[in-house]
Amino acid sequence: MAERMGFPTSIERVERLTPTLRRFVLRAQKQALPPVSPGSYATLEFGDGEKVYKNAYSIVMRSEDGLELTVIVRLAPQSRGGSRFLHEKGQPGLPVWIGSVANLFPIVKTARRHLLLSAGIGITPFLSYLKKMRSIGADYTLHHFCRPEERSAFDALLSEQDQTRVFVHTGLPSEVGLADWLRDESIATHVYFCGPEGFMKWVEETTHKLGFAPGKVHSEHFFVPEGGRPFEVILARSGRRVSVKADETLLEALELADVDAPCMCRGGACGACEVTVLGGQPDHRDHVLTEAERASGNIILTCVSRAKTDTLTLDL
Amino acid sequence: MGTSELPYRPLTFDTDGRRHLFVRENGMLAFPEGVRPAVFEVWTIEHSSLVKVEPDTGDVQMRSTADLLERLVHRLAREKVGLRLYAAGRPDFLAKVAKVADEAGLCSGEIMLGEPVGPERRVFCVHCDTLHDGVSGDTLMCQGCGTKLSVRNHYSRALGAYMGGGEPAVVIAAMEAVAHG
Ligand code: FES
Repeated sequence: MAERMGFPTSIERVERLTPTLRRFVLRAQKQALPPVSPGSYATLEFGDGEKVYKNAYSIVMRSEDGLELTVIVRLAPQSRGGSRFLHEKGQPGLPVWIGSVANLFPIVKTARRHLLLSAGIGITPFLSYLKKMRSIGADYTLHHFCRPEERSAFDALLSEQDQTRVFVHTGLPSEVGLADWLRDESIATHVYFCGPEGFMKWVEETTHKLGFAPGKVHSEHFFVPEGGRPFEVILARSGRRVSVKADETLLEALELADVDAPCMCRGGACGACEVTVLGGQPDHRDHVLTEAERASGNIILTCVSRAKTDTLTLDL
Repeated sequence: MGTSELPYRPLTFDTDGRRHLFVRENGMLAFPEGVRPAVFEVWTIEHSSLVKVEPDTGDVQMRSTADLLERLVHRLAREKVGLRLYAAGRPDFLAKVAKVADEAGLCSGEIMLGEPVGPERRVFCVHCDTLHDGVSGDTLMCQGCGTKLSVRNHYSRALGAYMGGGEPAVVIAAMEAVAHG
């Protein structure tokens, strides 16, 4: 690959929010970082001599001068190492390369009212939303769901917000009455949600049942891909074979083998990494492909999806 | 809202809606296709005393388009999530309903416009801002400034009208070809 795109930064400050959540402030070494909008994420590359990790994280804040970006990283139990590395070795001074910045989850400018629903780490895109919405005097409400032991951390994280619009709950959405609140929303309300899979599914089903039009419901199914059983890919154009280890993604394996594979979000959310499958059966884990595309079995998003068969033949 | 053609299509009940409101310009216009939902209301503009009243439908008769639109504004301002709005009538009527729905914050899956009946359109003169209702041809004489206007394909939701301009038709055709690539 030709010139390396991106921005060199290093960790400036680290703050432990809870045992599993850490806030990192990254400082640009040279020029200002690209502009961001509420909901933007950045792809970060970091590591040690042994391994390079590439993960995408929601941007919580960009400083006025554009030199600092803040992200919050959750230590995922199923982490393939990236989040764990940042939690264990992410100290001030560690170099972090910002590969790209993009937004798949923007605020709908024309919306009259915004209802934000998050659970756990899903709060991160909304931290930048809240700032923006407050500054423009928008009509919004946030309901955040977390475990009882994390409550104080999230209360602290949200302490500077407008307390009449921001609510933290330790009960399940179905227990605290979220369905009734949703039912009571005006027809002009747009709903945004982000969180773990179970939460996402509940909100998806509930909003659908209540008659929210698809154009009013926005979600970010952003996640750090999990590992799985190893498999082998055959690159049809060159006949090369690349093995994908249990703790690496298909995309990472391709990159390591110097294959020029497309990608953007690295979290199964954008669809940029789509590749044609010529043989074998994909194990789809993204949130982009339609049911029909999944069933056809002839495309795969390499950043998160794996294989059900021992080999997968790709049009690469 | 930008400018575009209004998205007309044959009306069908959207089973994902929880409450359904059908507004129509006259009593001859058919209900949306499909199984009639449990919560269904019809608002009809009564142009004559011969209008058939459908029983058990939450049928409401309105005196005029203005009356219907005014009530629609109030209704949508109080409306909760889950409503589907269907409209049938002439292009003018559909345009006005679409504008009210837009302003109330409805999105494309919540407002359905049936295939327009009759060719009349509302036309806005780009030279002097005069609005002309019920224009049936592709050209007209502007009542405000006297320019001979050609009606363009572009519709402004903000104005609820098609644009009429004084350029010769060939120039407009060329401009539209460029705009549409
Ligand atoms: S890179 Fe975005 S879905 Fe794979």
